[in-house]
Amino acid sequence: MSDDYSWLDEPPPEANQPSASEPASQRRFTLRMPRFLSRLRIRRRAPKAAAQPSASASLLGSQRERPLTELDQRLKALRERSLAPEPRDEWAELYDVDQALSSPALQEKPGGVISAVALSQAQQAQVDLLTEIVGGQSNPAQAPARRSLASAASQSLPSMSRLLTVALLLLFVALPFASSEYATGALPPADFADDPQANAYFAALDSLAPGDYVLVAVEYGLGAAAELDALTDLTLRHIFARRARAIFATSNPIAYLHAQNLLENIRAQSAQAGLRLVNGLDYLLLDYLPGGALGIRELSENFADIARRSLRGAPTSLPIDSLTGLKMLVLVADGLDDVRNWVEQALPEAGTRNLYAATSLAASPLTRAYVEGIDRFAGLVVGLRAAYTYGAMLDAALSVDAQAPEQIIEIADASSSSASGTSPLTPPPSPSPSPLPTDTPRPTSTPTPLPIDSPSPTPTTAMLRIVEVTSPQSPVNIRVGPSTAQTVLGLAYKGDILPVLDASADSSWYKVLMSNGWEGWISGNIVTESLVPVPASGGDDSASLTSERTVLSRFVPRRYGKIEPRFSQANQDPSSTLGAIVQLRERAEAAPRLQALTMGTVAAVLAITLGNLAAAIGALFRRRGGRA
Amino acid sequence: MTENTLTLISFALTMMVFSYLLGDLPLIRHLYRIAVYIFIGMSAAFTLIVGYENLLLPYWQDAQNPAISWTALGSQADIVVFGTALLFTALLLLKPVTRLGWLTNSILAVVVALGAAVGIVGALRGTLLPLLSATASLPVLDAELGALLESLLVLLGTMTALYSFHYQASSSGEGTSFGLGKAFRSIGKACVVVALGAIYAAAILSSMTILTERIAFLFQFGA
Repeated sequence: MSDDYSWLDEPPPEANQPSASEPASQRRFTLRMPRFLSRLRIRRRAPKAAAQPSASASLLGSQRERPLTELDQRLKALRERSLAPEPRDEWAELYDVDQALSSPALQEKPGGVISAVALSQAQQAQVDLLTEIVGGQSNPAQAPARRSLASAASQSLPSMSRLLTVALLLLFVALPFASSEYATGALPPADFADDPQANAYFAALDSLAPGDYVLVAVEYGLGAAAELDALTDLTLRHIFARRARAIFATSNPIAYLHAQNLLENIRAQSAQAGLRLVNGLDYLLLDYLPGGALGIRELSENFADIARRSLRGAPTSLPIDSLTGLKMLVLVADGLDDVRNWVEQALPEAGTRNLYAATSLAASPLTRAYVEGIDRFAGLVVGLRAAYTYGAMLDAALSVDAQAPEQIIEIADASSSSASGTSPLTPPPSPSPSPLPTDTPRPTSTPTPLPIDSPSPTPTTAMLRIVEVTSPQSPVNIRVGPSTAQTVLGLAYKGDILPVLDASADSSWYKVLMSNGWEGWISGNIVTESLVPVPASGGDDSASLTSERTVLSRFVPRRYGKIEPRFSQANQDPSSTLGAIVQLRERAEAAPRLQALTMGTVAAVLAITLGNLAAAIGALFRRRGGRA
Repeated sequence: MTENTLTLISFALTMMVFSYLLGDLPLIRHLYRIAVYIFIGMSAAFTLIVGYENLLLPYWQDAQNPAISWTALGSQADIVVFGTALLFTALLLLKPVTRLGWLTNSILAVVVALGAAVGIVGALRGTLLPLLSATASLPVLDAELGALLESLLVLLGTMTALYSFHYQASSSGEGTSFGLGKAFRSIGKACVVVALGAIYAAAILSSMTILTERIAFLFQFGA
């Protein structure tokens, strides 16, 4: 019985011999294993198993054949057709298909259903190729002996060409980081003069006014973070430097994680300059939007409901109840699908507001083509090179546009402020904003816009803690931290009065608010502490941070103007307080990364060119060898 | 966990991913796979946590809050919507019960259909109509020469690319045709190749950007 199924493991010997009667169109099917397929070969862990009949063959062999008389007419017809296959009409239309996909003819055995398969040479070549690919053994009689361990290991080692390619790529990419002498390639331009879409993106953010709300949608994953984190970071710093407010939304949880990390980094660096970015005040993270397009649709249509609560569950009180209340929408995405989702679901609900996008290089070809005809899609920046140019433009804009800190309009999430135990930056402008409810229960109706500049109707008296510089040695230092080892942030002169924000446990250091809005520490040995009465607003003179900010903003000190903040870096404009948000960003790796990108591209082109050249030369030699 | 520890873990994971460059070697390949498993597992876990904290937990807390529970909903319509959502949720939770598969599948069908409907409406309003409008305002003959040529190029590329996907074989078995159709098909294939090449090149550059970021991290780590 097993002889009847020997074709499953071993082809008939005559099938391996070329047949004189075989058409030329079939003889050309002599196949040779392509190189890329030979690398995919599965290692034969048990060569002996290949010599044995396969499991399927054994299973078939154990079955009893039914005699022909038991077959129904349909199976009989099928058998007859298999024994004498005729070319199908449709094969004439699909040329070569009859040769490529034709079933093998069965050899008849008296009294049996199946006897053997008569493979043509072309079919046998295809069987050998497939068997070789899947790691089988086409002919056990010709099976090589068990390979040695060294041979198996050598099969597993990467090819020399692959190693060379990797080494070349890594070398070229690493050179700019190792030494600037090896860096090559021009850096991106200092402005977007040649890119109107990118220029529109920058101009739109640069035109933000204090208090504007910008919806920042982050929709990128781990794969694009290395490219889009820089653009997200710069976009956020630009928004904060303009004293606008960023409202975050996303349907991608991983993107939210990146956004929060970037925010924490910006907050930490801003704190070095005495600027505080407060969750719920300067930015707000909305709930995660599940369901992709459905979530974005929900946000677009029910913005007020979703914006009632922040990501951390704290109640908010945004004075806008729809996308039309925003100044603009900014999307950072790594794929066309995300861009399309926001264009399709959010933009129609945003009234006349424009959508601006930052995308990765991989998404840019399709995105550029897609947004070409989209109305109100107003700007696009792409990739790391755009981030470099954007940073340069931002530096230039904020170094000459040193605007005074604007008053802060509280928008939300008082619980987060209280939990952090910090108060946001409040410079001393007037009039002061009205404090908003700090523990508002979740409203059941659409919130009404909150009054921003209306003064409090029932002022009360509150006491403000201040220090006066009394040291005869004037000026004295104001430092970043409560230690003489900390960096000097500014100077104060004898007679200066500074509001106290905090103090060390033994009151040896006071954290004070400087006239330009920065916060610093001053030694307790050179100042005198006292309490002064100041009017507070709203009748709420509790120690909440909100009212504390209000008190501070209403306080007018006796003498200001001689505090001289300074940074260790010389290229920063000390008069630009808000510019510090931009100036303090990390930028050391920007140029080497771009040069490494150029070098890597050169390496890739070299590898492709040399590889193709080597393959062509090899093919030429093989052809000549074959002719010889 | 200190920053140094995090940096060390990042370095180790980076090297584990880079081990893929050495090929499918014994032991080495497991390093890459472990790193990938960690990334995928942590991403899935983070997504799960976000879903729990931002979706399930708030609704659960709302349900327990008498001030905003369903009994205090404003109108009958709100109660109907809330009750329907509750019913759908309960039925979806019955998915493991095989006998009730038809029921949960019908709920899933509603959800999928809803998503499709939203997608279609969004595509119509957000993409198709704006693109149609933009197409209608394409530069015409009185436009400047550059814009006109660009429009013609786009038109030619679109038509020939679509035509190149039309498969027709002659009955002679050669499968080729001659003349204008072949020329159109060749141009279309060239357009497709250029478009795919541009997309592929952009994807390579994006990948290269990731590589430069990791190399920069390694140099920072070494310093």
